[in-house]
Amino acid sequence: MPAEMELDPDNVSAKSSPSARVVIPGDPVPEIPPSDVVILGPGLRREGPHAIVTRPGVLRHKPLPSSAEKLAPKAIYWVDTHAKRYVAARGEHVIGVILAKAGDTFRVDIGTSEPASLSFMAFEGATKKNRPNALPGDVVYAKLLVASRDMEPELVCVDAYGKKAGMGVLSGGGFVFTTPLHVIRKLLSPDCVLLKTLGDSIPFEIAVGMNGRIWVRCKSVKETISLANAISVAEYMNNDEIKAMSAKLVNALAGF
Amino acid sequence: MPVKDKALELRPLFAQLGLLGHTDGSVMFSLGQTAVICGVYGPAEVKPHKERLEGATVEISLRPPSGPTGLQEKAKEAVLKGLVESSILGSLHPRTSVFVSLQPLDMDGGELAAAVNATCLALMDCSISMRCLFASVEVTRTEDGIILLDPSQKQATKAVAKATFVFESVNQDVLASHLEGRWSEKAFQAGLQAALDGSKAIFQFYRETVKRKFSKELMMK
Repeated sequence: MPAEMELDPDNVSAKSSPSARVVIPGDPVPEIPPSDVVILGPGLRREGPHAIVTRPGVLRHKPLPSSAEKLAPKAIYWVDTHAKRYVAARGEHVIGVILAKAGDTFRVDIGTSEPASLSFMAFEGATKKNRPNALPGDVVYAKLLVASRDMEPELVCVDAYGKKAGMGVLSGGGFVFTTPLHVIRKLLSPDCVLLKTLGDSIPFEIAVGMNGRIWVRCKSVKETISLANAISVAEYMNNDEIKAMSAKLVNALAGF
Repeated sequence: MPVKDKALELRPLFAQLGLLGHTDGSVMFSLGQTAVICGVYGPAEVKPHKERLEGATVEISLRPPSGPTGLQEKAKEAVLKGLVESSILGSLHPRTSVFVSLQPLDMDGGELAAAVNATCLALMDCSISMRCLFASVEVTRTEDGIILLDPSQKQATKAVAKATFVFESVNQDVLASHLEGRWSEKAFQAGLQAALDGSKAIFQFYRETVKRKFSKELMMK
């Protein structure tokens, strides 16, 4: 599986805390004392000394290992929210569709408010003469190198060593579909057994983009479609339900 | 001021979140028999001539249940635009647009209030960063000074004056008000107080709606 496991605070296994509760914008967060050094993640902001919720969702927190440093943060707080629209964040892997060639770059739609740019030179082994053979309409799995609210997002298809590391044009058929962003976070969470369980019985290749797009390819079209459906319906399932659903799906595919 | 207790109750509230597949956030909201569907797109692509470098561009489209869009709709759009601009954290998404589309289905009094409340719920379903929530209630006054909270069209036939207030959730301040007819200061204060009490019920309804949406999530982990 070329899918990269993202390690951002949303995915680091959030063990349930007794304080997990539903919050709405404007709510104060009294758990965060004004004097404490904490990291405020998505959905929270500081207003004077107090932390205020800005997005509706489930408030979560994770204590950080204590450090000798005096100003080291003690915990991370964030709001687990449901959204469909992607806002680019640096370092995240996304799936994009090439819209056009513009000079030495591709314009790539990644579901944000403006298309991202992807340089011809940001592919493995690319040189000025040896250009990547990607065409408008192709699907690429890439990483966000620049993502700032004031600038155009910029993608690369190579890692820091110049290797493709699973990224690049997604070829050989396959199927792209979209899910809400929280489904992606769930799928990539180390706690989630969905891909592991399905992979035990059905060989498949998958690329999961943080922008809500999933590319999946199996041996047959039938398997690809069932896999895509299985991922879409897993949104509200817990691990036991996922295992039961996967077993049923594998049986159905085998013709039982 | 003679104020009947029963007159100060809201009609039943109903909301269904996320019913439109193509939008980023959507809701069907009803206030008694008044129903409206609202869809939100954002932060989305913005036309170059509407682009703002300091924040998101807010666009509202409100259509009447039938017939062409008139001045009344335009006036409501202007009110809603101001409300959305003041409650979302637009500066987090410069050079983008937040597009709100409203389609009233049934009109039975309190149309503006229903549109405002639907907009707030749809923005929450879309998960746009917001500074505060907002809720709106309509009140009317009859000739003999009886204040009615959130009346239906039939109940409001005897009304000589009408007012719609919008409150924000953090400090319970008035964000917008729209008055029709003559309001004495005393009646105005009574109406404002009735609307403020009504808005608290709406904020509580918002919280319950969001709780319902995330109930599965809470159980899972």
